[in-house]
Amino acid sequence: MDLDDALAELVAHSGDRLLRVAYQLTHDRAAAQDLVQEALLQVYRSMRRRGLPPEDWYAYLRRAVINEYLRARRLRSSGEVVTDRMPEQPVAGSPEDQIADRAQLWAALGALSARQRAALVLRYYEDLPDHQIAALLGCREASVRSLASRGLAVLRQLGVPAGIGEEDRP
Amino acid sequence: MSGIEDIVRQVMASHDQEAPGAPDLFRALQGTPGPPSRRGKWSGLLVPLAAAAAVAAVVAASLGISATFRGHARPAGPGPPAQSHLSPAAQSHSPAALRRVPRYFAALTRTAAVQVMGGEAAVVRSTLTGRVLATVAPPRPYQIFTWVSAAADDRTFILAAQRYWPIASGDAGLPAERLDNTTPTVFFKMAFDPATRTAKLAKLAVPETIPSAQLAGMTVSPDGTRLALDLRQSIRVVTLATGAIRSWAWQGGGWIGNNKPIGQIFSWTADGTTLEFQQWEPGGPANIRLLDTTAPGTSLASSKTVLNFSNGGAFGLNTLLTPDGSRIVTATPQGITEFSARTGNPILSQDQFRAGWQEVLWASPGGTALVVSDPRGKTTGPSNVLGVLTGNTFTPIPHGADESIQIAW
Repeated sequence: MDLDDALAELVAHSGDRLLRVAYQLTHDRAAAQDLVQEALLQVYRSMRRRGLPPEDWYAYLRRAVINEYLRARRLRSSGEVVTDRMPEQPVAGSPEDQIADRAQLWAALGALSARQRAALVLRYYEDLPDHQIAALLGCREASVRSLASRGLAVLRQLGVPAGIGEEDRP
Repeated sequence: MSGIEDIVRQVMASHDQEAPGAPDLFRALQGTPGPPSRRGKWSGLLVPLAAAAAVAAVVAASLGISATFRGHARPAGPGPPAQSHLSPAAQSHSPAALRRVPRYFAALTRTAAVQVMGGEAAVVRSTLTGRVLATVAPPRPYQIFTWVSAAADDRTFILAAQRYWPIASGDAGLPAERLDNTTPTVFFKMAFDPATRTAKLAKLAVPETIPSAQLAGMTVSPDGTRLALDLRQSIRVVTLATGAIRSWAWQGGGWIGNNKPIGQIFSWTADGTTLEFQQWEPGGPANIRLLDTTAPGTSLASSKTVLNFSNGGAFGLNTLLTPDGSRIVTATPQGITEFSARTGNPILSQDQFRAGWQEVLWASPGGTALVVSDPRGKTTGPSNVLGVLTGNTFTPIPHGADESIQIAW
């Protein structure tokens, strides 16, 4: 199987998964598509130069997605206004409140720094251990723990009530 | 594991299905026929995309620097004071505003030197780049598209077509034998495929024969399943899958639809239940009314008047109900004005100009992003500029000279 066919097969089998990861990072459908396409483009160019297909294609592309996301966020950093305060602090209780709380948490995830968001997505959406996250983000495991911890702390500070999600626990 | 971690997992999982499906690139790859050339399938596909991305980036950068305009917010006449909804995103002057609008739009184009409605072709263009991505002509014997409407998925459009130009009394420009007010109007679904940049037509089975002179506009529901037709003194809604038709008649004086008729005659709520329309009398008042298409009845008298203008020239051709049903948006002498769909009171006016005409072409669910056709202060010149109005900031659509009001997002 040559490089083209390998990429085609990967796209067919893992494209949707990559897009979902990208969507968790960007919270924007169009941006997620752009992110994955750019990552594919970079990987393709890189692999044609190096000619060494990786053992784990999906992981390789996921790394490209993360790298591209962090790079793009650095470039865009001056164009976005990230706030550390949510406009409203709803009180958990009714089902309507809990729906609102979940929407609030989703919005709060979008307000985290790029590295914090990436750490949380890789840990809680991709279920990766910290050492793999560290390798993806190019930092130490301790830094991953710090990023995740600070990200969760921000979410708590943003007023996500402790009550939401409890009814879903086993 | 702590509670917050569980919650984060649940919230991420709950948004999982919102992610897009395989993007255009994937579909294009899978559709690439034949054995790979020496350069390979991906190289042939990706390099043009990269070039396009680079061009788009340059366009985006130039837009951010030089081509974002400020409108002029004004209080909206009588009623409560106007409120601004400026957002940080709007203030960033970035083409992010363009991303709040469906990615593709359709417009009718013509080459004949006639001052009549319609076009010999329909084009699909990119909102982000303005580029023409696909062009289709009506299949013979039909030669002219007369109306266009868009579903909410950004790539499904409905077109009306007929044999000849719809020349009415008093119009000029074409030989008399090509006047056409009697042959039937036919309807097509146009499906645009971004991967292949092709648009395919499929004829719709609308069972009734509608003479072209009787059709005064149409708007497809957001889900693309129902088509509302303006027959001047009645409204018909066709369920496209079955051909079933419901009709509501207007027993009073005047007409249904705007006073040309041209543009987007109706608008729907996002759930496809409520239809907004104009009812007016020549030289008299114009009423903006809402019809509950799920309620029983066959009379438009059951619809509710939510807004009244003293005459048909006091507002834009298009009056759009925002998909969430909360506001009516139209052009007025005060600029682009939003009215409460509940009380009829003006809420906000923005983007006012002393000369030229404006039109609202599309509204986001709550009306915080609008596609408008705008003079941008020009007092001369043939065309307006298409752009996205967000929080009183106008972001032009590249190559967005407005050459046709028959245009749909």
